[in-house]
Amino acid sequence: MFRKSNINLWLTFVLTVFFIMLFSTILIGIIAILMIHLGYLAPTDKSPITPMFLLLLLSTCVGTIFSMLSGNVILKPIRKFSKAINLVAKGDFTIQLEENQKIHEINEMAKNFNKMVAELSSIETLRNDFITNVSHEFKTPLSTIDGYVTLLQSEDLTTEQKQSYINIIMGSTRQLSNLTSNILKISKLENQDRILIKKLFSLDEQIRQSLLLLENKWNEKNINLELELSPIIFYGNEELMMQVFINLIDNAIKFTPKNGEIKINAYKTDYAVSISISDNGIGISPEMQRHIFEKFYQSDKSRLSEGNGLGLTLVKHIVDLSGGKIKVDSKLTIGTTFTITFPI
Amino acid sequence: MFTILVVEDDDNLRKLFCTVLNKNGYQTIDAKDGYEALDCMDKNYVDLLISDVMMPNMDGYELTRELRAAHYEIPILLITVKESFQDKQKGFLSGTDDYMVKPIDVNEMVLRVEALLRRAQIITERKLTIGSTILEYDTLTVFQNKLPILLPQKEFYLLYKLASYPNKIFTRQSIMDEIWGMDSESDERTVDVHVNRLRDRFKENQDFDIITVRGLGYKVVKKNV
Repeated sequence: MFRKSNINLWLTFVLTVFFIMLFSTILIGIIAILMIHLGYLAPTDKSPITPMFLLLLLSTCVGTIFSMLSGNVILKPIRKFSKAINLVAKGDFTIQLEENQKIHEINEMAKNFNKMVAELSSIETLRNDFITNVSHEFKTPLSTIDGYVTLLQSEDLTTEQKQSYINIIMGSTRQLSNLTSNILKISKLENQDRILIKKLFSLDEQIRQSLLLLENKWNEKNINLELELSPIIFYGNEELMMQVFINLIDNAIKFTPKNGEIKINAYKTDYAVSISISDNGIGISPEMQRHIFEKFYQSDKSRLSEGNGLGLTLVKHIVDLSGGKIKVDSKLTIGTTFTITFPI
Repeated sequence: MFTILVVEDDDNLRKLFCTVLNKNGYQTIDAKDGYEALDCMDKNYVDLLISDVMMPNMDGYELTRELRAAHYEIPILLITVKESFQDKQKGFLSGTDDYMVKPIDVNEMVLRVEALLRRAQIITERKLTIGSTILEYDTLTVFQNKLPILLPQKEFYLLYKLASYPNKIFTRQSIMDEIWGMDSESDERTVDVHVNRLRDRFKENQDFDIITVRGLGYKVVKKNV
């Protein structure tokens, strides 16, 4: 399909060649006639080879000159394109080509180029934002550690003060360590569009093992666990699913008060596998529910010392990559439920 | 007095581990890489090895493999930054007994060292003691205040496993896998049946109890601690 306002490249090429040949022939013809007229050439001269040879040479020169002149029509946009690509390669993502070219294919090329540059620019923005965020997330605990270590240098501190400062420093160190791990995991996942290592394993057993790993935490808060886990054999990546459960259960524990309750249901129907993790903790407001899976988003800023806003991002990545869906239901002060479903 | 060999190329960390271990009553020798470590093993009697993985010349995995190939059965604890499942798997496959990811809590390191040494002792002696109850692995016998009871094999192994790790919860699945084997035809209710039989037998016992953790599994707890 070609538009009314621009011409097909092939047609342009054919027409150009046609007109070059036509004009060359006409020009040569005129020159030949002139030369005969002026007596430089006689039709019955000795051998026709010399004039013919001369004519051929002249045709070639004229044709070439015409080509040189008309070649620019196609070559100019290509040269512009090449220059623009070079600038983008150097890091300038603001370059745009004009999308009003006469030749259709060249116009399409300009349009696609502009799309590509826009995409690169947005990736660059995301990357810069990420780097800024990461830098901030690292600097905060680092400044805390710096500050409290300085405080510890004073001579007149009570034992309680010292202990308190030391605990804060420990907390920040752990925070940094978690942050590094999570960033590494997320980077690895972001470069994949599907999961590579998969095998069959018991999903219900994995939930139990995740709970065992976090035993200290739920024990400490005396949290009651209500478990309804049907035996489910799942085909997926064992390590990544474990990470999902650990992050969700850890969150549930974090946001549930002492003596609270966490319910975990896992069951299978003909169409899907469904896992839900509920707590009766402080809940998440509807406004925040929209953002919780974003990087570095933390609903409760006072909890900055405990997490780093990447846990749920990782969970969502993994669930998406595994072909599943995750949703959150929550009411402030009542509790939160995360539900993950995988189609069979 | 136990001797622990600490292998770590970072000077500060090596000093830290040795200091913490010394404070907890262990004698320490240190080495900077795998080759130095093997040298130390030749010249000294070592009860336990703590090793980093990423080291020049010979890494922790290789060191572990070499030791196991030379029939050193001492407990090995790998401490490393490498935390992916594949890394851990590689560690366990080369023969390590435990694996910690940096940065570590040195108190946790000490606890794990204790547990590893205790288990090594249990394995060498093949005997477990809780209060005045003694479980003898080779004879499937439980001595309560010196009075022996002979148990059927599965019941004994179940009790022995749970009692080797007091307070640790074991799921029915993991008990099945270890004691009945992965290919077993029995189902998880067999575990319940066996636990009930054990509870019946040992209901008078003052040293331990088998507790059910609802939805998760079972654990042995010491009484009168």
